[in-house]
Formats: sequence, structure tokens, C-alpha cells
Amino acid sequence: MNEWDINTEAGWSAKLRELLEEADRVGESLEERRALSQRFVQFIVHSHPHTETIKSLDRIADAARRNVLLGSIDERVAAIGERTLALVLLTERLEETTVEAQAAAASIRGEEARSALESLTLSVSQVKALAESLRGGEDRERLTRLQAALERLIVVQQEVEAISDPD
Amino acid sequence: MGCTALPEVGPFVDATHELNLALELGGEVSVAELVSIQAESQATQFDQAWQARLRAGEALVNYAESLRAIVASGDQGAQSAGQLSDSLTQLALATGVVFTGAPGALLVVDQAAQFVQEQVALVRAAESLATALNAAQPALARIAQVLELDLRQAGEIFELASLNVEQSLLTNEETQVRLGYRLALIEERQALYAEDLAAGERMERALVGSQNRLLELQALLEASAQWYDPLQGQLAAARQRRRNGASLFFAARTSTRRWAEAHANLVRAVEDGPTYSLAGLLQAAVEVRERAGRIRER
Repeated sequence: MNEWDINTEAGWSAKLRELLEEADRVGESLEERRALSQRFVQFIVHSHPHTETIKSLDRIADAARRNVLLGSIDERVAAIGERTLALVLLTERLEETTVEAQAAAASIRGEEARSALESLTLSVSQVKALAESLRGGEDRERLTRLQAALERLIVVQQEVEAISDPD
Repeated sequence: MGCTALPEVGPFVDATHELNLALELGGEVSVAELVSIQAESQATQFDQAWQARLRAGEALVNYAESLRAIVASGDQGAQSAGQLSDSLTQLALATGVVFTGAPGALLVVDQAAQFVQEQVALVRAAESLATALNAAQPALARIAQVLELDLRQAGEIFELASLNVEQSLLTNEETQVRLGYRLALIEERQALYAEDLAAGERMERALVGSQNRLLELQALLEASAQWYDPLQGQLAAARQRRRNGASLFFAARTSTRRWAEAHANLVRAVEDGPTYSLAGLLQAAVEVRERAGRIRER
């Protein structure tokens, strides 16, 4: 004889009372809640015949089953909600670190650009100094090469600008 | 050319994007499942609370990308130094006669400057990376714990809602009446089988009667397949959905744990790896001195 081998409305009513008492005592674990909800389903599936009284018991059992599940959902939603403030504070702390890290990356990039620009300025100064020394001279070949040097410097300048502002 | 190395942060950044996606998906399916069981109030509450998880996910992605930016800035420093050096070398070649006084000297100075520039960028990047990793580690480890627990409970919420869908298929009144009827048919058939076995050849007339009823029962049971088979299909689909949800949340939790471990490993890699702060610079200084010495010897 299994626990669902019941043949009277009074018997089914007593069985439902027993299940409702179990619901009052059920623990918080998912396994216990799941098992209890399945017992209410078993009650509904096995209860018979489908008289108005039995249908009424089934409706109570179904409401209790749904309450077990929704109650468990409520507890978990509340638990997640209770951790929200802590998570927000932790997120803010991480965001501060991120801002500092982004600034560090930008600083390193900026330093590189400054360093490159300093080198470029030095090169420009050298070429200008040379041009000054050749002013009025006869060395056309050197002047041509100087022109080529200036053209190269323009290329360098463009590259440095690209490095300075990759976006 | 450089002697300083930065740890590979790419996999961590990718894992962070995956974690963020898992948070988005986890929230989305949980809300959808709650709505599907008419638990609107719970769906709203959950959705509101989950927004903080989505913000945390976004912050984690920004943080991870900032680590990548630091590493990239170190690499970019070396790259820009290289580009500049190449350009200056071409400049020297193009203006060979201009620098005939010491073209080699220009190259050596330039190479030494490039090396120093690379090392400075890498050291600064390594230090910034270590600073960021260490500063973030305590908050990040705690965030990972919270998110793992959140994902566990969101998974349970999904499972409970999904179980409600499955159970409701069985417990509604119409299905109950139909299942009760079908069960009665099955029980009657089983009773007839049992009677037939007990009667054997002694009650042939009775057997004929029971055979006719058995045929009737068989026909009725076959007719019930019209609603019974679709019901079984719906139940199977609901169970499959529940299993899929369990897999999703399990994967999300595992991903969160591994992601936190990956960050801790990065912190360890920076702490236990080669010394980033001075070794590169010292070597750079030595190289500059050596190269400067060679220039003087010419």
C-alpha cells in the first residue's frame, strides 16, 4: 500500500492536511521545496474520484504547491536584493580603479608622444641649423639633400601625430 | 629588443566580456520565466536588483579593457619608438651628406634612445598594470563571490519558475479530469488482464466478454493519445527548458569562478614574474652608456 492508496474524501482531506503541515515545516533548500511541490502534484494526480469535494481539495493543493514555489522565488529575489548595496559599493570601488588605470594608460601614451615630439624637435633644429650654415653657399647638392631631409621630417611629423592621437 | 615583458591580459579581457554576457543572459531568461508564470511582481523586483549586476558587469568590462589599454600603451610605446627610429634612420640615409660627420653616431644614439624609450614605456605600463591589478583584486574577488551567489540564486529562481510551468501542465483541472479518465481505463485493462490470467481456459465464455472490453479499452486509450501525446510533448519541452537553464547558470557560475581565478593569476604573475621596475631601466642605462662609449671611441 502506498501513501496515495486512499479511497475516501475524508482520507484525501486528511492527506492534504498532512501535506500542508509539511509545508509549514519545510526547510529553505531548493531540494526540499522541489520535493514538497512534487508531493502536492502527486496528491492532485492521485486524488479521486473527481467529486466537487476532491476538486476543491485539488485546488487547495495546487495553490499550496504554487505558494511553495513562489515563496522560494521570493526568498531568492529578496536575497539578491539584499546584496545589491554591497555590490554597488564594490562596483564603485572598481570603477575608481578603472579610472586610475585609464589615466595611467593615457599618461603612458602621452609620455610616448611627448618623447617622440622632443626627438622630432631636435631633428628639426638640426636641419634648420644646417640650412643656416649653407645659406649663401654653392653646394647645390647639399641643399637638395636638405630639401629631402625636410620632406622626411614632414613624414616623421605625421607619424608622430598619428602616434599622439591614434583615434 | 626590450627586456621587460607584460603579462598577456587578452584572455582575461575576453573572459570578462563572456562573464558580462552571462550576466545579461541570466537576468533575461530569469525575468522571462517569472513573467511566464504570471509572477510579475517578482519579475519586477528581480529585474530592478539585476540592474546592479549588469552595471557591475559593465564595470568589469571597463576595468578589463583598462588593463588592456595599459598593456597596449606599453606596446605602443615600443612601437612608436620603433616607428620614430625607422623614420629618423631614413632621414639620416636621405641626408647622408648632411650628417657625414657622424652618421653612425646618429644611428647609435637613435637606437639607444629607442631602447630607453621602449623600456620606460614598458616599465611604466608594468607598474601601472601591477598597481591596477593589486588595487582591484580585493573588490574584484568579492564581486566575483557576490555574482557567483547571485547566479546560483538566479538559476534557482529560473528552475523554480520553470518547475511551476511544468507542474501546472499536470495540475490544471481539465488535465486532471482527462488523466483520471485515462488512468481509470488503464486500471480496468490491468484488472481484465489479471482476471484472464487467473481464469485461464476454464472460463472461455467470460474471456470472450473480457476480450471485447479489452478491445474497447484499447480503442479508448488510443483515442486519448490526441491530447495525451501533445501533453507529453509539452512536459518534455518544459523539462528540456529546465535542463537548458540549469546548464546556462552552471556555465555562468563556472565562468565567474574561472574569471576570478584568472585575475588572481594575473596578480600573481605580476608579483612573481620578472622585476619590472628597475631591471629594464638599468639594462637600458648600461646599454646607453656602452653605446655612448662606442660613439666616443670613433
